[in-house]
Order: sequence, then structure tokens, then C-alpha cells
Amino acid sequence: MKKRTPDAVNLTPMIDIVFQMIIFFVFTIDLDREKFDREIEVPDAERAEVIEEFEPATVYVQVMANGNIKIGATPMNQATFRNIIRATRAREGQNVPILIYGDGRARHRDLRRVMDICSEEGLWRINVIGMVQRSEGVQ
Amino acid sequence: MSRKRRHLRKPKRDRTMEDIPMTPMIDVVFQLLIYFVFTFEIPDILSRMEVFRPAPDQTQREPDENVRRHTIGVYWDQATDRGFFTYNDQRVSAQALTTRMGMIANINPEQNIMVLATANSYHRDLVFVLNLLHDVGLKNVALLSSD
Repeated sequence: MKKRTPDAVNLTPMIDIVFQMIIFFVFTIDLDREKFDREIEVPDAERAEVIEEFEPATVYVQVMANGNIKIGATPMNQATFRNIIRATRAREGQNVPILIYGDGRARHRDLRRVMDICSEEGLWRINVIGMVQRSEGVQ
Repeated sequence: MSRKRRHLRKPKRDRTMEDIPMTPMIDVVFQLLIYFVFTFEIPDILSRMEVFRPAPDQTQREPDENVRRHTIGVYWDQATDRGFFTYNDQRVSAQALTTRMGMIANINPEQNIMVLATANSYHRDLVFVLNLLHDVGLKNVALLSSD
């Protein structure tokens, strides 16, 4: 009778499972969260319209608690923000949605500044983001 | 002589899966798996509230006094560093505002609501009002900002 050595252990089922797990993680990875700063505490708004899908041309503006403006990970002043909005308007048209991801501790004047710039440059689809369910503590 | 050498050569074998070293691939696959496990996070569920900001129109007439207006004020109290609300210039609690808006929505959900946010008011208070209006079903909401 042939003796079973460690080399003869069948690795196929393990590799199958590992690949299944990798496929799962690749398909469920959430790239959208990279759009927003994790330090921003968005106010709760459980009853508002849940965002199922982000439109591709959407401009995501973050307003920090101290009033600073960011797009993605890039902080910017008002002039730069205005140039970006102007360029977006010229490239995509006036139907581009603006999503404002504002910190609940920010003052209205800071968000108003963002909304004013968008309106002045001809982008009117302005939305304010609220939180329905946080992922904190789930990990 | 040459015939002898030919006989001494190892016989050619078909290259099978057993000959391919699997260890590097498994190493990489496990590295990927560990990365994904540690970076995996259930995403936040976000909502949005559309903000309609009326533009100043010079051709507009003065508002008709007979039309009932509903104006919600969002203010900030410097003494307590907390926000408060008004309804048609009368200070109301968040609970009272919720009840009032529910009643208005029951009568006619198409009514126009003006939300007046002051410059120093907190963004969370504005979101509270917008969320409340969305909850009771009042959709015609205009946001005004004041200094």
C-alpha cells in the first residue's frame, strides 16, 4: 500500500475557497467611500431619500467642521473650487448633480458659500447628504 | 556509441499540474485575502435632500398677503451654543415643529415651505429640518440664507 506523505495533501478545496473569498471581496469592495473624509460627521437623516447609486458625473464637495472645502482628498480655496465647478459645467453641462457632504458642526455660512458658487456657475442640482446608517463598529 | 547515449537519456515526460509549483501562487492569494479581510468595511448608507434655492427675480411681484406662508427659521443661540427653530417667527421646539409640519402636510402636501437658515446656524440643524420635511411629505421646500 502506498504511504501518504505530506506532499500528497490535496490543496484544491482550500484554493477553491480562498478564490471564492477573494472574488467576494473584489466585488464588494466599496470604492465610493474613498470620496469622503472619514473625519466628517455627517448629520443623521434617516427619512430622506436613500442614495442607491452615485451618478458618474456627480461633484462631491466636502465641507469640514472648520469650513474648509475638499474634493476627494484635496483641500482647496474658493477660487480653485469655483474653477473646478466652472470646468465641470463647461464639460458636462448644467445637469451635473452636486452632493454636499457637510459636517454637522459646520456653520451654514460655509455651506452657503459652496451652494452660492455652484449656483453662480450654473449648477442647480444641489443636494445635501445625510446619514441613514453608519458603518462604525460593524467591522 | 551514439545509440548507447540515446538509451541513457531520461525519457521525456508530459508536464502535468503536479510539476507546477503552487506555493508562490498560494502565497500571493493569501496576501490578497489578508488585505481584503483587513480593509473590508460595510459602507455607510447615505441619503440626500435636494435643496431648491430660489434666485432673486426682479420681475416678481410682492408676495400676496392673503397666501399663507410657512417659514421655518434655523438659528443659533450664542449663549448655549445650540440651535433652535422658529415657525413664522415664533420660537418652537423640535417636537412642536414636527407636529406642526405633520399637520400642514396632512392638509396639503403641495404647500410651499421656506426654510431660512442663518449664517451661524449649525448644518446639523438645517439637515434636521430638511429630513423632517421629507419625512412628513412636504416636497416644495425652498432654502433661503440670511446673515
